Amino acid sequence: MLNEKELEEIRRKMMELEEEPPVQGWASIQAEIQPKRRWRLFGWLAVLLLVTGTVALLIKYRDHISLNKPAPEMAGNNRPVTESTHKNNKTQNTESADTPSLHILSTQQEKVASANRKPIRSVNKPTVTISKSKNKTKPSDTSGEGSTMGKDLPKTQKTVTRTQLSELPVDSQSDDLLIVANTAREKLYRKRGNSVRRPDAKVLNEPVRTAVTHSIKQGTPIQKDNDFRKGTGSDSVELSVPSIHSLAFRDITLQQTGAVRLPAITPRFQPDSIPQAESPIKPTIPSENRAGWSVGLFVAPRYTFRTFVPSTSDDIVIIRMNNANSSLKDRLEYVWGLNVRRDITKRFSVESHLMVSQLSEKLGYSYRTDHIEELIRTVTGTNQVTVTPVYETGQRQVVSDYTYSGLRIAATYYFKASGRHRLNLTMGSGVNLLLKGQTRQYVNGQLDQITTFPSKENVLKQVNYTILAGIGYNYMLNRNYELTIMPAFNYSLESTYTQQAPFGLRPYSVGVHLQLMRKLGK
Amino acid sequence: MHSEQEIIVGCQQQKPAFQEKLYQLYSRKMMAVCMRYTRSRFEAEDIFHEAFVRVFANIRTYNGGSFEGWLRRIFVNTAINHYHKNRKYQDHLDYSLVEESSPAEDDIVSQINSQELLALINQLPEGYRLVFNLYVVEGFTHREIADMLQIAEGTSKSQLAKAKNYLKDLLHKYSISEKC
Repeated sequence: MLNEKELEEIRRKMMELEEEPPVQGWASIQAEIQPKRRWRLFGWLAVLLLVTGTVALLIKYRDHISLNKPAPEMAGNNRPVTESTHKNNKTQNTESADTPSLHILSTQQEKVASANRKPIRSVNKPTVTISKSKNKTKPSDTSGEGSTMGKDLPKTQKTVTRTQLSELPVDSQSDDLLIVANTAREKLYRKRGNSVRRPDAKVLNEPVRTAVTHSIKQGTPIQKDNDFRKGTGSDSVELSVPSIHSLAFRDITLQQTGAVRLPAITPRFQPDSIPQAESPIKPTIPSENRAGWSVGLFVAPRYTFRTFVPSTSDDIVIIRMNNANSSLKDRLEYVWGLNVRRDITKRFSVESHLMVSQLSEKLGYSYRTDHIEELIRTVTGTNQVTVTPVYETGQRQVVSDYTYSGLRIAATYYFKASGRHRLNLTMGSGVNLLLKGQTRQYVNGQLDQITTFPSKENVLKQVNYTILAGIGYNYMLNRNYELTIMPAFNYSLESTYTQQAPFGLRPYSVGVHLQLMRKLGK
Repeated sequence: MHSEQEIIVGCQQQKPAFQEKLYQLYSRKMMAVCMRYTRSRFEAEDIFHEAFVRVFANIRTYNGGSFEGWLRRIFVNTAINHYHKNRKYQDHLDYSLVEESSPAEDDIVSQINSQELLALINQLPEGYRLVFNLYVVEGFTHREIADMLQIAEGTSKSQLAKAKNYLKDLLHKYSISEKC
């Protein structure tokens, strides 16, 4: 038996022993530990997309809220002018007189103000001050038709002077009542069905919100609805205009009690009179043209076909591929995932899909081995002997189940849009990363080997690139949700098998892409 | 030039450059470990690959102490797992045939080099070799060896004793053949 000294010597020598590692040792180890990093990269990309979408959503909502939120003073602002003059005088606040500026409300504010129907105090945001004359109204300053306006008003109320009117950027000479209007407002009235536009009024096509002011003279005939339409004025009503503010953006409704509905007068427009550079209001883009983000879910069942590509390292002679036995179930691929879309223009958008796909492959083939089963000796009539070898054949079946995760970028062009419907043409390409895979190999009907990814023996390629093309139909379910049904063709650019398999296999599939998208923000 | 500690930290952060450095630093030694637990280089390469992947996967759990010891432990465990997985395919040896060897000449061990010694150890029957390596080279106790190999502690002791005799006999034969 070895003594302690010898054992210690053995131990020392063994600890010092070094052996040459495998030639491709690091490469194979690196290949196995690398996918995790790659997957992490995809994970970060996905998170980045989701975060971007969420931030976009928050920004949109913040803008939406800030636009719709009525200013504290504005909450009690919008009282119909159809109320009696006395009532008007009572409810009219004095602040308007102290702030002799004319403000313009956006259409949204206008709507809110209309809904609230409370006395106007002031309008804060967004506002454009067009006239900042600090002149209190003096009867002597007013002249002509506008001079009587301030007569019935309380002293605290402000009247509009000709000087002020002349400062306003719109021609107001032909009209009598000082009001504020804009084309958007006019549209709103028309939408509500109570438009009282004057027959001779010129429609303002200018989309920029512009202060339009007119003066109305006390005692000037104001026509009722029908009369306005007919172009004949018969009723005469006296109007008290407490202030510019009180008239701004009120719903003017016609009442039986002699109160009148003020027409949404669209006056003549003088573009030169508007100091464009001074206007802080930016032209708003119609919401349908506004570039926006959408998020959605999709599912895509696909029927898979495949093409076989001979592998260069093939040392097995495949006699016959047995593909006919595959059932429909074996050939179906299921894909589902999330997508984020960015509308670049009304007709063009880009989107990214983060997806998971599940596919199974069942392949069977007959192959010839190198073993000679028997030799057939044939003697011809000339005594020539021919020996023909008969090689041993075998049956091999490879059953693979695999799950890929994928990231795809696609571009979509919309056409034939009408109402809620539109068609789309989508092209995309992406990368699939094998998440999970298992291959069962049967030789002559007997289970021979089970290989589970990750493994060196695994025959499934880890990364695969695909392209997608489809033409689909989009339907807007409501303002925010859109349903897409798109027949799509998906093609793998590379074989799903590694060169360890005796052949390569490129699947291509035809399926239906069902997608529900939600628009973010307004 | 990075210190071992920097390399370990780099590996914990999964930086490829540091992973490669660690591989270069320990691959030769660890390959020798693998060679001691297998009969063929082919098997040893399998264990080597698997163990290194486990090292990189679990390097965050390393929390001080001898890194080489920690590394070696992973390689040894991987080799033992490999042994368990392939035990059913291994030939059973009739250990009763192993005879007590005659006393060998002194200092044979010091006269032969590491490679020759490894070759002789690898001639030990599978069970003997495992116990011998674990006890003599790695320094595990019989209890630990029994747990690892799922055998009785007494079996470990007896196998070690037989391994020592067997190896002594091999050394003796080897010295004779060398002299001839």
